[in-house]
Amino acid sequence: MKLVFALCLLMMPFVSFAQHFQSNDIPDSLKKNAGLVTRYEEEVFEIKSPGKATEHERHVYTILNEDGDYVSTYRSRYDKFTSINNITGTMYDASGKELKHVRKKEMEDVSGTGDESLITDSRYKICSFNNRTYPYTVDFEEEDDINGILDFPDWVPQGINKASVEDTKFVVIAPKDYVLRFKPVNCSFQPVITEDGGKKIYTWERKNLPARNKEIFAPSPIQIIPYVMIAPSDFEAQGYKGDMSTWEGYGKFYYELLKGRDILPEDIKRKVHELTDNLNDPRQKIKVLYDYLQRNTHYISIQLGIGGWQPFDAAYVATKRYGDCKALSNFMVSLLKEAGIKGNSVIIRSGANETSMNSDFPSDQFDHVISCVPFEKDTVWLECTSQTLPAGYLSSFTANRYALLVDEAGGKLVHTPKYGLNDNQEIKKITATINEEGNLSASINTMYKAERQDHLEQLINYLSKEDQLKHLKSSIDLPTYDIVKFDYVQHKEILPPSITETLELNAPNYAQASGKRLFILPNVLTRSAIKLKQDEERKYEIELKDEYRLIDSVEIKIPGGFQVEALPRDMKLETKFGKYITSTRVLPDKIIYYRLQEQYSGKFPPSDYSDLTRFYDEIFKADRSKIVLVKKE
Amino acid sequence: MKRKKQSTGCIKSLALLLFIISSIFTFAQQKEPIVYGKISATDFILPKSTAIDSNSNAVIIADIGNTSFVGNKKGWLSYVFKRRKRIKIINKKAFDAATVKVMLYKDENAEEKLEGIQASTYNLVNGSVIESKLDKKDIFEDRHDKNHIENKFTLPAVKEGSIIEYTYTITSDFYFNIPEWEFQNIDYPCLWSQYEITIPNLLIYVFLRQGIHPFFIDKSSEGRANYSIRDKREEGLSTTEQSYSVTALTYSHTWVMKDVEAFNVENFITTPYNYNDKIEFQLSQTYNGETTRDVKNNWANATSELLQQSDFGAPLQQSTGEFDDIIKNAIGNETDDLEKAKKIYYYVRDNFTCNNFYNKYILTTLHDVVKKRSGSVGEINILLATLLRNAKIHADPVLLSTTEFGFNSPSYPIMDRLNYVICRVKIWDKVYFLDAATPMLGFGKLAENCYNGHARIICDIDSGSVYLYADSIKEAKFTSVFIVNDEKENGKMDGSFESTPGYFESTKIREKGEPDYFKNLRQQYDNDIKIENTSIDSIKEYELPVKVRYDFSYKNRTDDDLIYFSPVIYEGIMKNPFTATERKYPVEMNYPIDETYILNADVPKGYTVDDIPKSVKITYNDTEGFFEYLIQQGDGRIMLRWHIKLNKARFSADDYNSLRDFFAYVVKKQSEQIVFKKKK
Repeated sequence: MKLVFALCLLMMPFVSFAQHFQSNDIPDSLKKNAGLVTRYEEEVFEIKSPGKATEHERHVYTILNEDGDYVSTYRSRYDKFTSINNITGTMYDASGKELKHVRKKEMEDVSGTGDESLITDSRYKICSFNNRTYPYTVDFEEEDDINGILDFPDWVPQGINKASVEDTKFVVIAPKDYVLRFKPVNCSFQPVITEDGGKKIYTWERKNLPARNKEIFAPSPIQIIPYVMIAPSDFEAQGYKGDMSTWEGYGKFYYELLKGRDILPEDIKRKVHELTDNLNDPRQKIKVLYDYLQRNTHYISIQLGIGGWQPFDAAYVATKRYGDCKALSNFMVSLLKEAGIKGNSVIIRSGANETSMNSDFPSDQFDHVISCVPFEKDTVWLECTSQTLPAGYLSSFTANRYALLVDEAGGKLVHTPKYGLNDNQEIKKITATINEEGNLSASINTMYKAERQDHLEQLINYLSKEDQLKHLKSSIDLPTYDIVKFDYVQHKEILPPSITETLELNAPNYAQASGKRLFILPNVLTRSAIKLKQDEERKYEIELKDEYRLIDSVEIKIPGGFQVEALPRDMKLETKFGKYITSTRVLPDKIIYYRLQEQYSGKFPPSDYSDLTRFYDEIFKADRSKIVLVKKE
Repeated sequence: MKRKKQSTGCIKSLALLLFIISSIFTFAQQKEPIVYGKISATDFILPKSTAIDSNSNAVIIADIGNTSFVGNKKGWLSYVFKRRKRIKIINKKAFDAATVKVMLYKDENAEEKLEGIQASTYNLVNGSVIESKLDKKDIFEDRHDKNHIENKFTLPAVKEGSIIEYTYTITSDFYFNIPEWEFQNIDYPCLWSQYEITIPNLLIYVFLRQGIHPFFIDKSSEGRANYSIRDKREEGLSTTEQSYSVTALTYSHTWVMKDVEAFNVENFITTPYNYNDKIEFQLSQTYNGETTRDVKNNWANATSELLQQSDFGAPLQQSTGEFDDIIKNAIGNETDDLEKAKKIYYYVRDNFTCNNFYNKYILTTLHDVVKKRSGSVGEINILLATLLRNAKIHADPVLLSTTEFGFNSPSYPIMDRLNYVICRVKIWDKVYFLDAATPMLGFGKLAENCYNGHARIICDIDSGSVYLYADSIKEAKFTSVFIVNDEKENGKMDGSFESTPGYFESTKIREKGEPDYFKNLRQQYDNDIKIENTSIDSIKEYELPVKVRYDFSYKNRTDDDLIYFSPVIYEGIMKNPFTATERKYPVEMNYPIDETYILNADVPKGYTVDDIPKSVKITYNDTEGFFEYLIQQGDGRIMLRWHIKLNKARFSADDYNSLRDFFAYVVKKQSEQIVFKKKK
């Protein structure tokens, strides 16, 4: 009897805990649109010293359906700087009964090196629960030691779509005299600050956040999702110290890492002089040296320890002839230095959709390094991981955003160039013939410029001719066709660069000859595929990122003896989102079609969504309108 | 017995060539074209070769492999695989060839070791050859998980025009599958590909060869070799080490292929590894000096061995009562065998997640699988069979290889070529094949990639082969559309759409989900067309195909003098799937196509038919298929029957052009329009 009683007592905390996460406790408001509910989340980040910290995390999710399954797998990264002290995972059924408990040593331990890098020192502990009976609850808890601090974690109370939040909490503990820097973004969440002995405790908490829906053309998450950034003031990693309070301080730290790593071997020095001594124009020298870099090195990523931050030195790149972005940029700057030109490494965030950042909050918001040479009026930008881009051109990978230029005085924010309507163009000329059976043979010449050529530039430089053809075919929307000939020429002399595509193709039965009629679509290749959902409820602003202009001029010879029965209406749409103009003329022996489409970049209020939908719909429809010719009686 | 990681690859059954070592040849050693580390300026000029074309971004000058055996410390033999490879990098598109990755496997009892890595890049600078050696520090070890270690390095000083060369040696305890050899590379042409093996008569292997290119050298010889084997023996508290020397007859074979072009991967091919030139080996017998032991060299032996293995068949036999609760829970009071089988199947399918579709074995125990509620395909479907047997239902595992994994051989059991397990159930002489690892499958249904030819039932009573051919799949789709003039609103037309796709297409719709399906559908329609009353029947009844239904309406168009109307609405085939102009390898579709579309539409009120497409029926290769487009009008109505049917899914390369023409015709006919003219 006594024993039973003791057992009951022992069971008590467990039972009460389990009840706390019963699935039927969840209010309906949190179930709407949700695949999962964050029941309780806690992240406690304790700064022990500029170089040391601990992190305690707990995540409790109730998974409502298949859309939430992905959080049932927990991946915890560790490396030279972060070690996992303890980690556990527990799964409960809907009633809160424990189904399974997993300890650290039972978890999978896998390499964190993906296909992108040759080697890194990051690894993952993975705990995955698999359950097919919904709802169910998972609870992950983790404790890490951090030795070497370069950045602090942001707190994103609700980072994912289709997930609601019941309760989430962020706690930062720091020595009383430590200057903790934080900034609420897209919100005004302020912490509750308390003191405990020599420590200061900052607590943020949010409760009952319903699930969000994803919206098309919404601004990037960092512009709309509420979150709190925190960043170190003084920090330290592997003997390198820094102060991140200002961009200048951050730049200084990176400059320290670069110090003394620009020494070139003698033979490379000789090569630099051989290449540049007889040139006067510094821009010409840059071009020649960048070309030398491109011909002699390529990108290989090796990230081990501080090597994730500190580049391999110039001599290493000179012998191995490879390096990652920071090593190649440092090598480029070293080459420039030898030629008497002052260049800089520039730390930047990469990705076509990553143009925004919080420029007023110095912190590690970057993942890439390029280099540049500033002149009085402009700057020459160099993407050192590419063997094919022209000197001075950044593709959409790094264009139009803030970045941190590093020099001996520290760092300063600079802005990379934006490519606009007159740069990002696609100009297509089609000359074609249609015969009585409706077969089309066409020769097509297209000029792609600036960001409109970025994707193609990769394809033609990194894919074999066979794969280029496969890709070309996947982009052509014709029922049946043969490509007779295709060719690309890259023009790098004039910036921004362009690519000319020449193409010859035959499309049997392009025009439908049925009875006495011939149906011809004058818009052969440029048909807008965008169709927005009409009845979408719009919460966020509309952001159109890309700015471009597309011009098509089509001339199609037609067989004689036909007259026009129906003709697509000429279009002229001028909106704040862009412009769309078409005209179709039928002469006795040919059709002349012209199409212009422009898209402007910008932000528009949510109420404009229906206008935008209509704009795209009209384009969609007009792009598919056919000419009907009928045989003369 | 522990086994090595699975590797992809397969056997073309037609080109399957089996020979057990018995014949003896003498041969003169043909000279290898390269000596490791000896590179002169003239080596930078590639010889003329039919294998090199404008697509060649790199050329493998020579790829030379050698496998032989040594005695190990575990009382037996290990193989030693040495490779030397020389590649000319023509342009930067082939820089990837300069990064070398070697995966090693280990477990508690056995391991693989990588030694003797040497690598150099050679550049021609002002007429002289400059060598840049790989620094040992630049060789990295990436521990993927507890069994797999990937060793990798990238060569220094690689530029366009460089020659790279490397060599390494793997010593492996996993003697039962010695390394296969690919004479044909998927990415680059190869001028000289050579493989040489020397095997003691203690081990006997079956050789499997596939591909279309001839050997330049294909010779064998016999010899003799000494193997010093050491062994540890524990007797009580002391461990004694024994060492003995074994002299054995050896068999050697050398294969060389010259000028093999790169394999060009095309659409509608299950996997290129079914067709590239390759040779593989499977241990068939071992000999210890006294007795010969068969190792799965026929299906009967393989079956009985598999049935005894604790990681495959052994758990099937047990009836410990361990699973009684689960079974009771799943079947309740049900007594009918078929219903019982269904309930157990549903239970396993709905409660267990497959986390590895390429492992046919029980990696842990069934007990653990039940606890974890997840496992490999082998674990889940063997658990299914075990549960069924414990419920007194005749159930057996069936081994097969999925399409992307490649073919497997009906005549020889090659375990590495099999990656998948399903379950066969026999109830009153009716046979069902079950797969509880793939979610959203019905009882008695298999996924498309299980239809890959030969499969083997593993059972002690009626074991045997069963053939699951893509050609045998019935995947018929039937769609009907009605359009009528609206009674109330002049000029408006109302339509209803109903479609029953085939089973596999139904599965795709289930995976997509109803909301996304209709969202997608709405985007494909013109915005002038209103869609309402959408529904999908049987979305959760996985045994049945789904039924998609919705209504649509056209707005008033009476202002137009002419109405152009495409009669095949949202169905049919819009684009010819065959875009390439020529084909070298067979065309492998997932199933034979069979789609019917029926339209029954009113002529819009106030209009007459001015133009209507012609009815037509064409056959494909006489009896292998047809396309029918039958249209008629009368009584103010239009009726269309559109039907495409092919009797098989797999076609030879010779059929490619006629297939392409056939689809071109279908696509053309699809786009034809009806013209309605306003009555004057």
